[in-house]
Amino acid sequence: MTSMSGHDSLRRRSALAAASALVTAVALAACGAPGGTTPETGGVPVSTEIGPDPVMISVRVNADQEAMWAALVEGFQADYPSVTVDLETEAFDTLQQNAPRYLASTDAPDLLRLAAPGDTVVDGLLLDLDPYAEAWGWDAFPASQLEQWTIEDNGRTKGTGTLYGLGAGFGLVGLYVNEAELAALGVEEPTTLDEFEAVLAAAHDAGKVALSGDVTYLFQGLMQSLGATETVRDWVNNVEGADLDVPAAVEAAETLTRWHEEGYLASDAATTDAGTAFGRFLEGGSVFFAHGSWFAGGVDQAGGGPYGFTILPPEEAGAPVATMSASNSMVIPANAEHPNEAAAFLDWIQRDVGRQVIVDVGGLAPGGLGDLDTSALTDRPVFAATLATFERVSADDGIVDFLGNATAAMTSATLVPQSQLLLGGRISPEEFVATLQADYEASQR
Amino acid sequence: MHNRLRETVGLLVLVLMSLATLIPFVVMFVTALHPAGSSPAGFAWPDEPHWENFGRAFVDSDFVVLAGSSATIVLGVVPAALLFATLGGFALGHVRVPGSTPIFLVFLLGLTIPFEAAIVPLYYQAQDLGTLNTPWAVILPLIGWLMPFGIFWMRGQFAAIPAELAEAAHLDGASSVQVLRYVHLPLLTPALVTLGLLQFLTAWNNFLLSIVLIDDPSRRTMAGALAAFQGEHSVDVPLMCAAAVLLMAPTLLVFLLLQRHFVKAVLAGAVKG
Amino acid sequence: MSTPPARRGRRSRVALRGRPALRRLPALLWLLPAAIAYATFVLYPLTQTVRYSLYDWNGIGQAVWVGAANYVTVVTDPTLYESLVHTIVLIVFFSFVPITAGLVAATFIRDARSVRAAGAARTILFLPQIVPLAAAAIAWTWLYADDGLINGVLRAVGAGGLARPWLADFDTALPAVGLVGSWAMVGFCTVLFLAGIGRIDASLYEAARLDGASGVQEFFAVTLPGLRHEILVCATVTLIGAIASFDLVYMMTGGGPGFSTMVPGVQIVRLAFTEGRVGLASALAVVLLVIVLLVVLPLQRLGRER
Repeated sequence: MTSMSGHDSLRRRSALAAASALVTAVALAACGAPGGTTPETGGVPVSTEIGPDPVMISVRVNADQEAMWAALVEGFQADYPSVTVDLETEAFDTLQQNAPRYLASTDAPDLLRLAAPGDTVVDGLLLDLDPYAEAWGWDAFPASQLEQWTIEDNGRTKGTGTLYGLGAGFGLVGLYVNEAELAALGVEEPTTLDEFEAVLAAAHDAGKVALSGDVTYLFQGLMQSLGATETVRDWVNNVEGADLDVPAAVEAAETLTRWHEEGYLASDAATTDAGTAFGRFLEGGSVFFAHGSWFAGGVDQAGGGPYGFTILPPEEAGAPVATMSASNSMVIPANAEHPNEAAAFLDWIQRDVGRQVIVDVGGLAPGGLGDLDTSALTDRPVFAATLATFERVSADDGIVDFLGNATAAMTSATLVPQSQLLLGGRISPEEFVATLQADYEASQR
Repeated sequence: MHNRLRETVGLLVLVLMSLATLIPFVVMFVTALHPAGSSPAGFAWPDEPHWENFGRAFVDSDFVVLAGSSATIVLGVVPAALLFATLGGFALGHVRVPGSTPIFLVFLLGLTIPFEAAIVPLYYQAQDLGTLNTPWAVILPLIGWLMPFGIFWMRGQFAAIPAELAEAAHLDGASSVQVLRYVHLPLLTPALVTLGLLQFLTAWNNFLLSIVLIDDPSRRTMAGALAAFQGEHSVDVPLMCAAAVLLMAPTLLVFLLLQRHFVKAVLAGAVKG
Repeated sequence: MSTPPARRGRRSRVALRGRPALRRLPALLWLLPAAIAYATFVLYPLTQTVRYSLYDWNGIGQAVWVGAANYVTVVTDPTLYESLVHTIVLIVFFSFVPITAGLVAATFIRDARSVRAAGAARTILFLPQIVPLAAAAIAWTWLYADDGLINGVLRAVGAGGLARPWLADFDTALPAVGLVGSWAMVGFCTVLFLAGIGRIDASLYEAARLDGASGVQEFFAVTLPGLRHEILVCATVTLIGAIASFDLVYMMTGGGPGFSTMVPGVQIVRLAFTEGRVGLASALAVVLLVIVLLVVLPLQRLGRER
C-alpha cells in the first residue's frame, strides 16, 4: 500500500472508525422500528356470481401434488369457462418457507397452499373466509373439517374464531404394512402397543428392519397411543397454557429411542428422507412404513405385497384411536386480486366432481359434501384402506393436527433436528420433550 | 544439480493432486449416466450409458431459460462493474482527487465482508425497490459488492502507469476523458480482461443472493437453480448428477477456452491482494 | 506499489504545476457511480443489519425494540454459539490444511520439470475455483453417501467397518464438509505457491545448498519466508471462504444432522427467512462480521509490514 507514516495511518483509521460509528448511529436513531406496512387489502365485495369477463387467477401449490391439481384445474375450467387458472408449483418445504412473503407481496397469488398459519393471521395477510363460507354453504360441512383453519384473532388458537382456509383433500398418517412379510413372521396383526413391539422384535430377530418412515410421526403416534391425544390437540391448537412436557411424551420419546437402539428402526432413520425410505419399503426393506396416505397411490402401483394400511395400536385394546390428519389447506391472500374466483374454485373442489378427482388422482380423503363413486377402488386396496382408516378414526373423534403445525418453524427448526439428536443419543428423552416445549413457548409472544 | 528422484517425486505429487481434484467430477459424470432413480455402487461405468439423463436434466431445469437468466445477470453486472471500477480507479489512482486515501480506505473495508452479513437487509431493500424475483435483485447488489476489489485493482493499475504519459497528452490539450481513452485504456486492456473474468466468475457462480432474492429457479444463476433442483429430485441421484454436470458446463467451457487468462486472472488478483 | 517515493514526489509536483487544482474536484464525479453502488448496496445494508439486530421482528409485522437482547441470545443459545465454534473447525479445513498441503506440494512439484504436465495440472487444480461450489457439493454428497464411492472403496479393501453415512453421522458430518473445503482450496493454494516459488531468487537456494542444508531446512529457510506474501493472500482468501461457507453447508447438510454442521451463514438465512426471527438473524450477522474483521484485518496488517 502507500507508504504512510504510522501516525497518519493511525489517525486516518481512527477517523474512519469514528465516521462509520457516527453514520451507523444516525441511521439507527433516525429510523423507527422497521416493518408494519402490509399491502392494502383488495376490498372486493364477496360474491358467488362469476361473470363472463375472462379472468386469470394464479394458484400456487406444492409440486408433489401437481397431477391432482392439474386435474382439478381442468375440471374447474370446464365448468367455469371464463376463468383461466395459472398453476404454479414449488417444492413443499420451499413453498412453506416462502409463503409469508408471497402473501405479503403486491403480486400475491389468488390461492396458496399454506400448511400452518404462523404469523399470517396476526399480520393480516389472509382473507377472512367467513362471508364466503356463508355464501357458498361451507358451514354445512362437518365441523372437524373446518376446525384446523378456524383461527382466533391472536392468530394461533384454533377451533374457534374466523375461517381462513379450506382444504383440498385430507391426508392422514398411518402404518403401511407389508402383509407378505408379516405373514412370513407368523404373527397376528397387533391390537395393542405391546403386541406391536413384540412384532417389531420378531421382525428384527428374523433379520429385517422392522419399522421405517418419519420418526416425528412415530413420536406423535406413540404419544397418542399412550393416551395423550388431548394434550397433543391442545398444543397444536395453541390453547392457552398448553404443555407438551407430560409423562406420556417422555415415555413416547423413550419408546422411540428404545426401538432405535434395539435395531427395530434403521440406524439412519432420523436422517433418511421420505422418498428414499419409501423406495426401500417397496423393495421389501421393512415390514412397516410410517407415513402419510399420500403414498398410497405409489404402493398400489408397486409390485410385491400385498400391502395394508393401519395405524399404531393403542396401549390398551379397544381404546379410542387417533392419528394425524391435515387437509391440503388453501388460503386466499388478503390482497388477492380475484378472491371471488378463487373462492369459487375452492368450493368446486368440495363438490362431486372435485371430490372424485381428489380421490382418483390425488389419493386423498375428500372434504366437503357430495357423492363419491367408490366402485373403482377395488384395484386400489391400499388407498381404500386409508379411506376406511380415515372413517374409523373420525368416528373416534381421533383426527389430530400434526405437531409440526403448532408453530411456523416447529418442523424444520425443532422437530427434525431434535429427533436427530434424540436418536443419535445426544440428548435424553426428557431433554427432547423439554426443548419442544421451550421452542413452542418462545414463539408464543 | 538436479536429482532424478526429486523430479519423479515431484511429478508423482502433481499427478496425485490432479487426480484427487478430478475424481469428484469424474464420479459425478459417470453417475449421471446410470439409470435414473437408481443408486449406482461406486465407480462402475454403467452397462448402458443413459445419455438421456442429460436430456431430462436439460428440460427439467429449464436450461435454456436458465442460461438466459444467468447471462442476463452477468451482462448486467460485468460491464457496469468494470466501468465504475475503471472510472473510480482513474479518479483515485491517476487524478488523485482530494480525500483519495480515506475514500480508498472506505472501499477497502468492504473487501473482506461476506454477503451473509448483509443478506437480510438486502432482501428487504429489494422488496422496497420492487426488484425481488427479478435479475435486478442480484445485479444491483453484486455491482456494489464488486466495487471494493474493482476499485482496489484499477486504482493500482492506474497508479502504476507513469504520470509522464498522461502529462504529455494533457500538454497537447487533451481532456481527462481523452487521456483515459487514448492513453490509459490501451495499456490497461489486460488488466481489464483480468478483472472482467473475475467479475464474471463471481456473478455467474453467485449462490446466496440468487436463492434468497429470486424465488423462481429459472430466473436465478445456474448455481442457484441447482438448489431448487436438489429440492425436487434429491432422491434421483443420477438425475441430480446430470443436472450438476450440465449446470457446470458453461463455466467449464469458458474456462477451458480461456484457461490461461483465467489462471492469470485469479492469480494476479490474489497476488496483488 | 512499485514506484519509489522520489518519483511519486516528482509526479505530484508536476501535477500541481501542469494541472490546476480545480481540475481535480470534478474528477470526484468519476468516483460517483462506484461510490453510489457501494454505499447503496454494501454500506447502507450493513448499517441496516445493525439496526434490525436491535429489534424483534418477523419481517412483516411491526418490529419491537429489544436492545441487546438478541446479542445475549447469540452468546447463550447453544445452537447459535456452537455454529460459531463450527466455523473455527471449518477454518482448519479451509485454510490450515490447504495452505500446509499446498506448501508441501508446491515444494515437491517445483522439482518436476515437465512444462506440459505443469500446464495441464494448473488447469486441473484450478477447477474447484471455477465451478459453482453448489455443483461440487452435489458431487461430494454422492461420494459420501451410504452407497457412494468412499464407502464402496472402504468395503472393497476390507475396511467395511469404517463405512458409514458420513454426512448423517453426528461425529463425521462437520469434518466431511470441511474436507470438501480443503479439496476446493488446496489446488488454488498450490498453484499460487508454485507461482510464488518461481519468483524466489534461485541464488538463495544455491546458497542454502552450498551451506549443506537439507530439503527440510531449505524449506524453512528459503521457501517459507519467500512465500510470505502468497501465504497471507491464501490465508485471507481461504479464511473468508471458511467463514462464509454458505454454499457447501446449505447444499450438503443444511446444518444437520441435528445442528452439528450449522454455520452462521446458513443460520442467518434460516433464522430470518424460515423462522421469521429477523432481529436475531441480524445480531448473528453482526457477530459474524466482527469475527471476520477481527480475523482478517490483522492478517492484512501483517502483509503490509515489509
